[in-house]
Amino acid sequence: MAELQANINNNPAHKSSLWKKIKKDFKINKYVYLMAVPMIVFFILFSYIPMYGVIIAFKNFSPKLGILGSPWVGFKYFENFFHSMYFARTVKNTALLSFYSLLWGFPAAVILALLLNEIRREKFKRAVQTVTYLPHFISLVVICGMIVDFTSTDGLINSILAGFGIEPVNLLTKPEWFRTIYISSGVWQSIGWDSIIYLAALSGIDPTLYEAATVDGAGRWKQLINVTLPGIAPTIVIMLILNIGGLMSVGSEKIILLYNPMTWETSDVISSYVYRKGLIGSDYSFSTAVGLLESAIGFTLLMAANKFSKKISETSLW
Amino acid sequence: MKSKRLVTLLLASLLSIMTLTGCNKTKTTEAPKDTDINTNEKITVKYWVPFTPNQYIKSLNESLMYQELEKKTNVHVVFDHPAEGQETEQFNLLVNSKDLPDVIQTYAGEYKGGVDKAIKDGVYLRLNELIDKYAPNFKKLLQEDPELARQVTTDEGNIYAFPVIGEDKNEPAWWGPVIRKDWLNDLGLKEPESIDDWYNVLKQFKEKKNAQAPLMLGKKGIDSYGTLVSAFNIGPSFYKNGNTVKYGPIEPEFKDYLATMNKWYNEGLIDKDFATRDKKSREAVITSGKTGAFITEYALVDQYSAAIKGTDAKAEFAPTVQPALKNGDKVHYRVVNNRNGGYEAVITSSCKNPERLVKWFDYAYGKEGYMLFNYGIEGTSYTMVDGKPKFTDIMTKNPDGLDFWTVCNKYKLEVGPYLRDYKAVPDFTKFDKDAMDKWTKAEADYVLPPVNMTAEESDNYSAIMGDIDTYRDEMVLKFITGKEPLSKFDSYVAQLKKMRIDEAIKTYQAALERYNNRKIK
Repeated sequence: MAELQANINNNPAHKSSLWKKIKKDFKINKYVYLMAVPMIVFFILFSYIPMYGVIIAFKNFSPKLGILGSPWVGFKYFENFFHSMYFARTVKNTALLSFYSLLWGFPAAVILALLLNEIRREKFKRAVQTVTYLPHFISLVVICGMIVDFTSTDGLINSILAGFGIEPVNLLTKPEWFRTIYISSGVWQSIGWDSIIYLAALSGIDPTLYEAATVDGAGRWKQLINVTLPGIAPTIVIMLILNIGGLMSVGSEKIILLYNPMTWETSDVISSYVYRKGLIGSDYSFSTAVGLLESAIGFTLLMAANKFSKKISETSLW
Repeated sequence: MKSKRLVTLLLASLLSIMTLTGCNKTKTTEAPKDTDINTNEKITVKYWVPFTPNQYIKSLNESLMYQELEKKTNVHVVFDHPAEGQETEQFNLLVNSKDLPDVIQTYAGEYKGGVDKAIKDGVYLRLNELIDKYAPNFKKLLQEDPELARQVTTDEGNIYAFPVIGEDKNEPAWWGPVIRKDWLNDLGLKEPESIDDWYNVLKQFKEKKNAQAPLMLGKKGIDSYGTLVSAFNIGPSFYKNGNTVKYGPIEPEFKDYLATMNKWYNEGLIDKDFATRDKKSREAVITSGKTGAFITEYALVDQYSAAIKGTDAKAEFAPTVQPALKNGDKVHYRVVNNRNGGYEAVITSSCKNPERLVKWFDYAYGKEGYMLFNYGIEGTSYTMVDGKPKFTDIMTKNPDGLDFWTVCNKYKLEVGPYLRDYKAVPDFTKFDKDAMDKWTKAEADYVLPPVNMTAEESDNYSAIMGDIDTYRDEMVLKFITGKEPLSKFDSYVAQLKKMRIDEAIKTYQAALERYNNRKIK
């Protein structure tokens, strides 16, 4: 790929040969290309065409005038957001929530995959795997309903705590608990699912490497450090880069299902604020402006992480 | 993080819909042709309206009443119901898409920029001329009742909707406090009338009846009809005193309300989990006998009474008057059914036969329509006994063991655009009658009439109120639960002023004055 890129940039004379290469490739892989067509159409229809709609971030969008006809207002909505009383708070909450989610959730999936890999009993392994990724298939609304029940004053957690003589409190009304609840339930929801990709990478490690390591006298621990981890390192790095790209975006659904005004100081994130303001107040230009800002930050973070990783580990997205 | 953010997703789909449909501008409808109205060809209209399904009727498409209406008018209606709890969002997306239904009911007034703007934007139709021509029954009602005419006319003189209209001009209140009568009797207490009475009663419920949550408070700490907050001589949000608009949550009396709630909360008289309760969880507490008092609409209490018998056969709910600060004080705020009773149906610019549709709506305000909408189908849901309609057993003693409110919408309409007889229910239970009596004792002179804002005003208003609502909701809960000391109340008010609450009040004031000066024919 890098070679191809270099060809385009440096040798315009080779254009025709590049074209030939593509043609040849197409001939060989025509079914692969054919299979890719639906996805390409999907992305063009649902991701690229709607993209022109982001211009309403710079317009006072009115449905009557349409996207192109609405008057331009420049950076008004961005300024509105920056000057909003809740700008700093929502940005901070978003950053912290997703940073902590990454900090706890990301290694958890890797560790689970490594642990599963060490299990020799197939049946047990499969059982554990199934149990850990089941939560992924439960509807978010149901999960949040369970969380609300568990954390209420007479809920499961408080009943257990009461056994230790701790005064029951509704945990979801405590701003200091919100992140813990959000992140720990998030880890529980996604740990199994997220570990699948690492398990796949693990199965791709050449077994002869382990044999060689055993011959060299490496124990299980040494094998883990010197064979397994380096084997899945590229996958880990790629996943990390992708996750960093999403650092500034916390989905609004789970937040909205779990928060209430009492915890807004830690739970109100950009997307939930935009939801209240944009969708309920039908302020579309404002929501789009904030969404665009989020994407821009995400994009920058992704690029930076990618570059950084390229420099130190030679693994990168492109 | 993996799942797409809701907002983006919705916006993306909205935008793609617009793109696909080519964003064609809506044309203003042509003048109605007289020929259209006389031919009685079958037409089909799409009708968007929120609806709460139950085991007996899943959607209004199953309503036998509307099927009967179709036989009479040859108008086939296809109902589309938004997901419960997402009505506002779905309405906003709906009016911004070009795929408008012919009729939008109930959320029509939420149009961003106001109804006049919706008409100017070519989304809703102005109905004045159509009503003159094709809606004699509705027109007669407007002529007979100037207050009604004022409430269905905008500041710019547009008549825009068919609302539910109470046949009785002073329909009673339907929202208020309910208390465990059997506990009061056991403890030898009389029904509480003042805030101090309430304190005493709740305290005893807590101590002697072991009530886990003596009082169920609304999720936001203030209920929308201000049942408790109005005891302090203010309204829960914007209200008027004489002709002056005020905002309850910045008045000094609001501090007293918060102090009272805070005291009750600290002493365990208020449900500890009130801020996180949704409707189901709230109902679970009520019907499991853990609470002594709550605030509700009377129609729900029958269900609660039936449900609580399972845990406590002696349990009995009774309505009580809205509390006043001191015995004998007057209360000035309560739920009011405006003459324009809401559930307004507007006709959109997508409608191809507005004349036929206006005629169809008008039917509901005439004599036959009155019987159909209020009582249903003669011989099926009611029979005439001594010249008076009487509901049949299907409605009152349903063979499936369902109560009236569950089967109601299959044969008649509970709420919607028609001339409503609020007494069109089998027999009010003693509870219902008591509730109406007691809750209507509160006066309603602080309640604002349904005013309109101009597009500019409402833009500015929503920009201001967006942040104010966030701040107020947060602070009210913190004050009540003691997270913030009440000594901070002044800085809370100062902050609201800084957030330009005065401007919002002024906007309301101007809108109220325009309302009072509306020219009606």
